[in-house]
Amino acid sequence: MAEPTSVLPRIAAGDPAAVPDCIARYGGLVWGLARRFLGNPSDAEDAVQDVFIELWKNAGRFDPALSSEPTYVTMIARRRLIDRKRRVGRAPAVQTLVEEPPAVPRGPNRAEIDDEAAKAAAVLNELREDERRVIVMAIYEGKTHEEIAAETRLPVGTVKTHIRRGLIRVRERLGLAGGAK
Amino acid sequence: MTPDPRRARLDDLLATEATQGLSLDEATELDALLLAFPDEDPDGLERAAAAIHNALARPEPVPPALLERLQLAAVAVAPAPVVPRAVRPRPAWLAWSGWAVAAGLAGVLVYVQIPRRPVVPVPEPTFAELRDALRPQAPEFVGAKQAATGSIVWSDAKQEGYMELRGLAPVDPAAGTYQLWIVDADRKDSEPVDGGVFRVNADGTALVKIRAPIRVKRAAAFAVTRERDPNGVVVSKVKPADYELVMAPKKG
Repeated sequence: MAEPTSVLPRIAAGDPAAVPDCIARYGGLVWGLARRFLGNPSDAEDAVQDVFIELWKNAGRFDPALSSEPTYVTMIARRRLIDRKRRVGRAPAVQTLVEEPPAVPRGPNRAEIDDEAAKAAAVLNELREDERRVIVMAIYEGKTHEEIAAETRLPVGTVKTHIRRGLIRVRERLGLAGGAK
Repeated sequence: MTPDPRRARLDDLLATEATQGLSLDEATELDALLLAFPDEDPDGLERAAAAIHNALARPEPVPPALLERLQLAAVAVAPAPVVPRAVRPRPAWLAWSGWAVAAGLAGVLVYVQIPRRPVVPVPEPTFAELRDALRPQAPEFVGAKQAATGSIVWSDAKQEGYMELRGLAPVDPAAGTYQLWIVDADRKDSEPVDGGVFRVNADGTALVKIRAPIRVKRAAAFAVTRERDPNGVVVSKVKPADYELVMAPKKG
């Protein structure tokens, strides 16, 4: 059952007020993601528009039984951004971090994001420091496995293993479906 | 019991897809593995990555120019109600009046500031539409065997093609898969090129985009085999009699 505040089901149902609500609620999330992934503000603006158009056109595909709405929005945004980077063949993560990402979610709109994100944060806090660092570099900073290996001096295979195990642990914690291990 | 190494490879590819995307070869491999493990949620690790991202990220203020652009795009892309919810029926005029007001506001915005990049939403074309667009500049290959019929539109120049099949028996993904082969007349070793694995719908139809992992210089024919290995990919030497279907250039 969708939360009453979900905007995508309202968009799918043709509620015109839901579209500006969607921009207000997720604009900052998608913009921050695009800016971090693409670096160039002009490219990031184009990408944000692409993401929202996709969200609006396919709003009916959101299934609240599978994930929260913020998780779904971020998943669609990440998919679009990764695809965009691969299409243009550009090196990812050109954006330099100005600060360390917070270990605990905070900031505006957290009430909307907290549930699944908090579970993910709890998993991150359970990881060893080197594992957590690799996950943050891969997912938050958008770095490739090879870039992470070069920066951390870990073998690429170890980087991939840390990422895979971390993602699987979060998937299990969120209760998302996966294959038998 | 020894874990199936293909399961680890599947997780590896899904994790790579969720973090940095896949190459064409990896995507093809992932498609085959997902056929072999139908219980796997293909989006599960992408959702996990999204949740991790949301745990770490803070929303950033959206530049005012981008906000205006999104508002204009919202007017241009009125979403179709994919999942109609009839909890509280509303008169049609009421639903559309909101859009009319939004359109009016957008008109004011357009008057005040011409958008830097006009938004022209283009729906994603279907495989059938892409095939029909390709048809005038590409030959067609057709074939039939017993109840099965197939046609392929393939362009050597574009390395693009689409296959439509009817009358093929669906295969349990756990028990096997269908595999497409491309016969390249210019290939010296005479080995057919792997055209990818695919599934057939319950009604015996399939419409697939052909993925050639290597360049096909001069396609002479296409063949469909049924593989017992759910991964397909590499098959032992097949004889023409083993083909489920062969599609040759259409005459006339």
